[in-house]
Amino acid sequence: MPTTPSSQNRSGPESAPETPADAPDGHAPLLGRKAARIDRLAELMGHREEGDHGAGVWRTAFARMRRSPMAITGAVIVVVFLVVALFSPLIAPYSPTSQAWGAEVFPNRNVFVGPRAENWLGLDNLGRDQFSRMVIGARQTLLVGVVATLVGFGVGALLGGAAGAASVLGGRWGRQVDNLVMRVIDMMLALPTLLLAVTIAALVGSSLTTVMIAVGVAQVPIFARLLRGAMLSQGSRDYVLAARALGVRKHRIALVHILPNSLGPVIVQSTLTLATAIIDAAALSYLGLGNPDPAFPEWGTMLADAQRFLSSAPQLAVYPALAIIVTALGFTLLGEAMREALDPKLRK
Amino acid sequence: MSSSTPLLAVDELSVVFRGRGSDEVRAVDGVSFTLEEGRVTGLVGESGCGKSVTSLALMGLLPDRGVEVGGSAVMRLPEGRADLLKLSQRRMRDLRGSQMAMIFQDPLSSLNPVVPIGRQVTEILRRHRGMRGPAAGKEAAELLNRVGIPDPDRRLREYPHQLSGGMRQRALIAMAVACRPKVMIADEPTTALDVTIQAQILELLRDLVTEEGTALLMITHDLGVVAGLCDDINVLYAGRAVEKAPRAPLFSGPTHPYTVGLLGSIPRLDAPRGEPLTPIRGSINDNIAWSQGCAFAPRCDHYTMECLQGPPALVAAGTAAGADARGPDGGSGGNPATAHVHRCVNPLRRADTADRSAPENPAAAGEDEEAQG
Amino acid sequence: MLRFIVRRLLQLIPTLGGLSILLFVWLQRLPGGPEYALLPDDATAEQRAALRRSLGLDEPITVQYLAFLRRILQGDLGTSLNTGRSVTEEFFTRFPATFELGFTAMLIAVAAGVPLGYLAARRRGTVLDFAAVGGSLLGICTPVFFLAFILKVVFAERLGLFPSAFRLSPGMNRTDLTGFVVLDGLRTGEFDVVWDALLHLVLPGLALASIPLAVIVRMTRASVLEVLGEDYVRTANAKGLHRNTVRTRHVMRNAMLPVVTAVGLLTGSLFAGAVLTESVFAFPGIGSFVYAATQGRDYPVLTGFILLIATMYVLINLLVDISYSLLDPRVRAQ
Repeated sequence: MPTTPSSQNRSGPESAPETPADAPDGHAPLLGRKAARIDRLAELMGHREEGDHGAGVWRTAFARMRRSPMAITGAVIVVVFLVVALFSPLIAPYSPTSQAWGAEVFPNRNVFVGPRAENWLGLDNLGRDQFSRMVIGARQTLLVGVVATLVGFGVGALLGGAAGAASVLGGRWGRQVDNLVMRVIDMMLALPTLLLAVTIAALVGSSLTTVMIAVGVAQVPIFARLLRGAMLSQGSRDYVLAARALGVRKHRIALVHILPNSLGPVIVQSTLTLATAIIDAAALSYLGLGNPDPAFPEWGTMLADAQRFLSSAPQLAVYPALAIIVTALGFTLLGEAMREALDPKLRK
Repeated sequence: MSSSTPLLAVDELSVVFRGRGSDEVRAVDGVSFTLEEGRVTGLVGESGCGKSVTSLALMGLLPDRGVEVGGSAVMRLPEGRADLLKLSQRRMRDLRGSQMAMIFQDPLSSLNPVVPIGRQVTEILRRHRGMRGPAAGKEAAELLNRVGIPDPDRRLREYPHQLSGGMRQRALIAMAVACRPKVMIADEPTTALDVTIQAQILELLRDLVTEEGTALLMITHDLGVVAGLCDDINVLYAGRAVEKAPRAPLFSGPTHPYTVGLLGSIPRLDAPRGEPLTPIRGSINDNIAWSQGCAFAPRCDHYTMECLQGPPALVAAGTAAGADARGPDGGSGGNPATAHVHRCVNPLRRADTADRSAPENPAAAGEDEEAQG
Repeated sequence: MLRFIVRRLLQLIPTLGGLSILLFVWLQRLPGGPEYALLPDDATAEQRAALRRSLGLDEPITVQYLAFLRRILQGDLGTSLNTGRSVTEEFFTRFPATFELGFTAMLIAVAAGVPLGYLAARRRGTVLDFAAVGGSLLGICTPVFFLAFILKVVFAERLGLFPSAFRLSPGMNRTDLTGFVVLDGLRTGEFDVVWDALLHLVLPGLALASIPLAVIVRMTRASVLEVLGEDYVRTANAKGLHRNTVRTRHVMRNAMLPVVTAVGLLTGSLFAGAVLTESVFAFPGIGSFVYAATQGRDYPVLTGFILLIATMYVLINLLVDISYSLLDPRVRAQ
C-alpha cells in the first residue's frame, strides 16, 4: 500500500509548480527564483527520498532481520553448521570408523580418553576419534534434517495446497474435497509427531531412510494446515476477486496469484522443521529406531549410544547433545526471526 | 489571561517518540488550546497529524517507555489546579473515568469481547463511585437508558458482539459519562459508524455537553462533524496547529491553505454539477521538519521561498487581507479563544477561497508575495 | 451448550473411524503380516496358515476390518508379546502413574509458564524478556531424553536431592485404593507416602514439563503482547480501573484463550514425552511400557498405545473446545 501514494507524491512537489514555468509569460528572474524554491524544497525533503516504500515484503523482511540479533545469531550458527556438514570429509582429521586407539579405551573398567592433542574431543567408547565422528555426523544430521523437511514440505504443501485451492476456487465440490483432506490431516494431527514417527519406523524397520521418512511424514499435517490456512486467507482477498472478475483461469489464479502470496509462513515453517527434524531424529535413535549403521555416525545415534556412559564419561553424550541443541537453536532462531520479520502485525 | 481560568489549558504540548536506534518522531510539536465547560473544541486534521496522540497524552495513556511528553496541561480539579502531564500514574488512574473520560473510534474493538456489557459499565461505577451489586446494576441500566439504548436490562447481560455498531458506541458513551466527568475526549467517535447513526451519536454528545456542562474535546478528520458540533476549532498539521478559530470565521474565511484544502476536499451537494473537487495532493508523510519551514509546503500550491526559511509563527489572521496581519503577535485584541490565528506566511485571501476551482496559476499568489517582501 | 457438546461428540465419529482404518491398514502392512508378530521367527508355513485361519485372516478384508473394529470397541487391544498379558489390562494398571506424571508436568508448565510469559510481555525488551524467550527456545531445542538424563545424573546421582527411579522408595508401605499414589495417600492419611511420591515426581515431571513450559511461555508472551495492544485494554485504562482489574479481567481473560488451546494440543505430545522420560527414570507408567515395546517390536502394545493417545487427544480437545466456548462468548454464538 505505501507505494502508490508515495511515488505519486515524490513527483508531486517538483512537477506541479513547474507547469506554470513552462508557460510563455514566465520571464527569466521569476524562473530562477522558482527553481531555487523547488531546489530548496527538494533539499529539505531529500533525506527521505529512499525510504523503504516500494521494496517487496521479502526485501523489507530481510532488512529487518539484518538488524535483529536473533536472526544474526541464528544465521551464524546455521552457516557454520552448513560449512562443517558440507566440507566434513576435508575437516575431519581421521576416519570416523577407524578404531585406531581401541586399545586405550575400556568402557567396562571406566577407562575413557578425554581431549588431547591428537584427538581434540577425545575418544569414544570404541576408541574412535570423537571429533571426526562429530564432524562427519554433522553431514548425516544435515541430511536427515533436509530430507525430512523436504518430505514434510512436499507432501504437506501438496495436500494443503490442493485443499486450499479446492476450497477457494472449487465451489461446492471443492469445499467437500477440502473437508475430506482436512479430516485426514486432523487425524494425523491427533497423533503426536514423535509417535507418528515411531509408528512409521516400526513399520519399515530401522534405518536412516526410516528416520528421514518418519520425521518428514510427521511434519506433513503441520505444513498442510499452514499452507491451506494461508491460501484460504489469501483467497478471500480482493485481488483474487479481481482476477476472477477478469476471467483469469482458476488454476492460474491458484498458482500465480494465491500460492506465491501464501508461501511465507510455509517457508518459515521449513526452517523451524529442520530443527524439529534433528531433535526428533535424536529421539528416534534413543528409541532404537535410528540408523544402526556405525559407518555413518549421526548425532542422534551418537547421543543415544552415549547415554549408557553418562555417569562415567558424560562428555561422550554432551558433545553430540550440545551439537544438536546449538544447531536446532540456530535454525529455530532464524525461523523465528523470519516469522517476526514477515509478520504484518509487527511491520510498521 | 482573561476573566476566568479555563477548565483545561493545554500549553505547548509536545510528544516525541523514540524508537530503539531509530530516529525520533515528533508526533505532537507544540499544540496549545483550552477547554471550557459546556463548549466543544475540535481538533481537526488528517490521520497522522497528531490529534489522537494529543488526546492520549492528556489522558496519560501513552506507553511509559520511548515517549517524551513536554509542555503542560493544567486542569481545574476539585482540590485545586494540577498539571495532568506531571501527575503520578496512580493519581491519573483516579482521575481517568471520574474527572476525564474518553470515547474511542472503533466501538467494537474498544469493548472487551469476553465480558458482558453490564460488567464493563458497572466496573467503572464500582471503581470511582464505590457502587456494588444491585445498586450498580440499576445505575448501569439507567446510564444505558440515558444514552438511548432500549431495553437496557437485557443489553447489560449481552456481549459486545451481540450489539449493533451504534449501540456499542452508545454503551461506550454510557461508560464515559458514568461518573459525570468534567472533560470528555471523543476520538473520531463516528468514523466507524453508518451515516445515520453518526448523526444520532453526535446529537447525543451535543445533548450531554449542554445538559451536564461537560467540556468536550472532539477529535476528527470530518469537517461535517466539526461544522455541526464544535464551537472552537484547531486545525492540526504534522503535530502543530496551523489554524485556529471559532466555527463561524473558520468556515466563512479560512486562511491557511491546508484548511482551505480540507474544505475543498469535501463534495458539496450545492456545488454545480461537474465541478471537480480540489483535493490536497500527496500525503501527510510528504512534509519537512517544522524547524526548517512550513511542514505543509511540499503539498501546498502557494508556498514561497519564505515558507522554507524557518518555522512560521502562529499569528492573527487579518479579516481583510491576511497579508498585512503578519507580526509576532497579531493582537487583534479580544479573547484568545475566539481569535482567529494561523501559522502561515502566505495565507489565502477571501477571494482565493471563494474561487474553489483549481487556480490557473497556483504559484501566482506566492510570486506576488515574494516580490513585495 | 448441550447441543454444542453433542455436535462435537458426533464430529468425533468420523475422526476416530478414519483412525481405526489407518490402524487396521497399518496392522495389515506389518512386515510379513500380523502373524509374524505373533509367532516366533522359525515358525513353519503350516503354523502360519493355522494362525491366519484362527485370526480370520483368510476372510474378506471388510469382514476382517469389522471384526477388528468390534474387538476394539469391546476394549480388546490384543495381548502384549513381551508380557503375555492383555494390553488393555497393562494400560489400566499403568495409567495412574502416567496420569500423575503428566498432570505434574502440565501443572509445572502452566504454573510457571503463564506468569513468566506475562512478565516477559510486560517487560518486553528487558533482560527478563530475553531470558524467558531464550530459555524457552533452548527448552524446545533440547532433546527431552537428554534433559531427563542430565537431571537424573546431576540432581539424583551427584547431588542426591531426589530419587532417581520409580514411583516410590523401596520398602514404602501403602494402601492401594485406586493406583493413584498421591490421591490414595491423601485419602488414607499416609502422608509419608504422599511426600515420597511427590519427591519421585519432581525430576521426571521437570523433564516432561520442559517442552510444554517452553511453548506456554512463548504462547502467553505473544498473546499478552497482542492483547496489550488491543483497544479494549486502552478503554479499560481510560476508565481508570485498577491495574489488577485491567490485568485479570481485560488482559489475561483474553490472552489466555489461545493458551488454553495450546494446553490441549500439548497434552497429546505429553504422552510421547512420557515414553522418553519414564524410561529414563524407570517410572512404572505406560510410557516405559511402550518404550520396552518399541525395543522389542511389541506391535499390539504400539497399536493400542496409538489408539489410546488418539482417543485421549480427541477427548482432551473436546474438553478444550467446551472450556473455550465457556470463556469466549463469540464462539458460543456460532
